[in-house]
Amino acid sequence: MKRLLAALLSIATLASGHYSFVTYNTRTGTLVPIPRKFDLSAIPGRTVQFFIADTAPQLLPGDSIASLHSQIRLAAKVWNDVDVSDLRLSFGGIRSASAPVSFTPSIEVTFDDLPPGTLAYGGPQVVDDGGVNSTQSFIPILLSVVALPRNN
Amino acid sequence: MVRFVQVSILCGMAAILAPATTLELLGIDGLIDKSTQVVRGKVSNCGGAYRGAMIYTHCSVTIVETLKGAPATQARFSVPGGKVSNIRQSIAGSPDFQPGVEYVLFLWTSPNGFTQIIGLSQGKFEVRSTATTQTAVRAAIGDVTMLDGMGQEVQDAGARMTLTSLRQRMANRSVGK
Repeated sequence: MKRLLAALLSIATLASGHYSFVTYNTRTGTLVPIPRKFDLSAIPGRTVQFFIADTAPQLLPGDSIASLHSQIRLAAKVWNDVDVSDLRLSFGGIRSASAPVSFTPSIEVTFDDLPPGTLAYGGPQVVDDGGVNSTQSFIPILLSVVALPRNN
Repeated sequence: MVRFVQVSILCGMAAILAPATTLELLGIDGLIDKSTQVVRGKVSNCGGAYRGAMIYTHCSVTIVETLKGAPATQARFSVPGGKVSNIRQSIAGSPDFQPGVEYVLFLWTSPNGFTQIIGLSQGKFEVRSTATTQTAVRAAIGDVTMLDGMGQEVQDAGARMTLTSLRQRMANRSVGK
């Protein structure tokens, strides 16, 4: 577990220096990056809830759903222990994978059939209406979804 | 399995935080061995749809050559990310396709019948032709964390090989089994 936490911290540190999801409002001239991020001013307590889907991944003897959820929650705690971040994460509960998509700003951790060579992926969902307002400083994330493998 | 689950959670939470994608680097032989179907063809009719909370883009490939699997003229596959109505989801490392371009695709169908490209963009090669040679080329994948089989971070340098070499390699892998 110590190794997991140490690795999480190292990845969180690396992640802070790079951000994949950036839009530019012009193709020419000075390019101003407009990141996609949660609008923390609109989220109570600047705390984004994460939900875990109820679809059970394949587990081998010795593994359990409870320990899997525990590790996800521990990973969130690692983030919450980063005191320079405005964003906080809290566990919102277990959510049915068949529930309608909710666009309350939150994070969904799902389990799906991921092909070989794919350990995990995730990304934000945003409104894409064909352009970015020139005065926009960021694009608010409606929902962020993470897919973890349910197959082994 | 425990190590795999831990790595997956680790990567997934990194995806929450960054967000990002984490892949395991597969060589050509890994792609060949782990695919259920390898085809050459042009991609069309792509459209987004929700699968649970995630948006996927579902595409068709018109097959001109089946390199592995049952011969077919058409196949459907999905890639994560895309657009549904006015909602867009972006997934780092997910492949996109240009109309009219020929690709070699390493596909994998899950036991539940969900067909995807192996390793996101790792399983998508663009076919470049000259008068004498056809070469399958995959550019290095950016914006992702790439790990080797031991969980160590590695750099992806892309890949390329002639179709003749690829066919030979596939035949050799098949004979070796």
